[in-house]
Amino acid sequence: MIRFITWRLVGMVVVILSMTFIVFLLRSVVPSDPARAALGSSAPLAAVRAERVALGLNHPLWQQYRHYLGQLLHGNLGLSVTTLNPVRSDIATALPASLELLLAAAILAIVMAVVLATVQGLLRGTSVFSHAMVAAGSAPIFLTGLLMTYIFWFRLGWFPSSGRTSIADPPTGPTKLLVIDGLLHGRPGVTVNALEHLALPALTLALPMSVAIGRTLRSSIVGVLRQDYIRTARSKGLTEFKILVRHVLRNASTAAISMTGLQIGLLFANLIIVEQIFGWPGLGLYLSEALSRSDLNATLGVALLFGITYIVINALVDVLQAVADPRVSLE
Amino acid sequence: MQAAPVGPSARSGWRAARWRGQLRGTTWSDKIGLAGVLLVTIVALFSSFLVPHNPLIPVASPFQHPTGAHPLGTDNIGRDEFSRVIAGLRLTWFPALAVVAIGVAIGGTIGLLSGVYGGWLDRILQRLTDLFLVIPSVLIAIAVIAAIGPGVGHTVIAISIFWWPWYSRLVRGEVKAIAARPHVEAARLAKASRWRLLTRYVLPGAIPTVLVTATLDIANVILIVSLFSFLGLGAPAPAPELGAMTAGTLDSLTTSWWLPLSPAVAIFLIAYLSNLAGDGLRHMMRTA
Repeated sequence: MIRFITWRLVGMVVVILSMTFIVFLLRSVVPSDPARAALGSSAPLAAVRAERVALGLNHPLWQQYRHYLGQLLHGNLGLSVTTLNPVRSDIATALPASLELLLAAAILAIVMAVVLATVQGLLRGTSVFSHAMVAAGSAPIFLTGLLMTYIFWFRLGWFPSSGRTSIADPPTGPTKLLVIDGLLHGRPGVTVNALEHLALPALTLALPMSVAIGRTLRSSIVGVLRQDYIRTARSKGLTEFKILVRHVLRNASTAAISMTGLQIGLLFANLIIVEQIFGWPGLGLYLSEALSRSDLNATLGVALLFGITYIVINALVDVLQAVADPRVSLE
Repeated sequence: MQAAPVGPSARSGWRAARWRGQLRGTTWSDKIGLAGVLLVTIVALFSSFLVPHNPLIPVASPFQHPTGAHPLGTDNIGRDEFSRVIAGLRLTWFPALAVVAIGVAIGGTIGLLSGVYGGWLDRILQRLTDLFLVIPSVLIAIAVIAAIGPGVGHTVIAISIFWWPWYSRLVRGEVKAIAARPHVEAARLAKASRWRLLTRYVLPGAIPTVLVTATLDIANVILIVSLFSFLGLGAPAPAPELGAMTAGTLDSLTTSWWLPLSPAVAIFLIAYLSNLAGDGLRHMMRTA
């Protein structure tokens, strides 16, 4: 077990380093002349040459990469040409909003996945439900977001369509998550308002993830239900609900946990779209604006943060699975 | 007793009967998916001839409601939205097919080499596959396009770079499973060359599974391509890219809802038909 966890963590570091190398190449080698890109197309040749020396572009590639790694370890992700701020401080400003949205979406996705898997089990053999699941998995995230906005905001007026809050002076700490800070400051109105603004973007973000996890969970549940110990549990007189909760879900969750880890990458990509549609002031909106303005430092900084988070979460998922099911570490 | 007929006409009869048998194993939704995918391919291929108006130039006043002359209305500068959606199918459908084809080609080759030769080559190629599987492919592809510049070709390249690992794993697994079968073992013992083993036994056995997986994968790639298009990483304006058309008309949702929704619904339809077609192919292969 210790050996498995150690190797998994070592593998995680190797993958993170590989990713930083890819980002380094994109930042320093792929643009035809980073010095020219920094100074502008009309800069004199002497200034471009001086900039190349200042950027260390005259050094061997491995030295440039070592310097880049050192900068990363100090949190230096360069300057955003859009905001003219360090990318690190832009990310720190936008991160809480995205974190709040991602947490809400993750909780919704897991709850919806369990409900979908259970309902699918009860409706076994019904093609309408399975076609609905296929249809839900075929919808682009922006179609879901637009339909949510059109129906629940424009037609029904149940939820707001954009922004994080409509309160003029929301609390700014300590967690920077408005749902929690509202309660900590004794202002439940802030929490309720934040939840209202969270509803549509979180649901939009959660839906594709819940469909994918739900289908995996449903397949695992079917497999577990065929096991002998389930038959034993039934013969002991346990109700179907108790069997589902005490025996089935726990044993069927391994594959669903793996699927959840894999969905994180797509979740981050969908976050960019959802924050753009709902005007949510998070990392996704920051990245989409950086892309539209060809702000390479900001784009690569956010991609690196998302990427490292994805790699770490998947490594933790593997470790948790090995702890929950020791057979995983023996495979 | 009359002898069974032989010759070309008999063989074509057997083939037709075999196809009918395979189609009999499919459901109504499978048939809709397979026919739908064929229709989408034909429409995308001949879109230049099928569009009623030029999708790039204004033909009427802007923001017209859907009418008989303009079934999906007109956009913010008066271009026919229906023509743009039809033309836009090509810029979503063929790039998605290209990504899957490149993924199958690269991943399939790596998986084939890995499974057939084994040993140190297998270990190196599979560690490489593992590395590409663990890296968050969509995010890195976004970063790649941000660095090299937007465009349909760049989108296809960026996504393909990170899409092949799944096929490497799939083909390697199929090759290993087929190679362990008795008839392949018998051929190996009969001193059949590696090339003969590959072309007569391994490839014909692996192709159906890869084909089904690739067809089911098209829907996923369509959604990824449209996501990139929405972010402005695809063909530049005024090219009618479905995702970009939605992104460019978000502000019109409450006044001209058909403008952002019709390209998005078109993407949903082709992804849904691809999923149905993949399921249909899977059922057909099962009854083969």
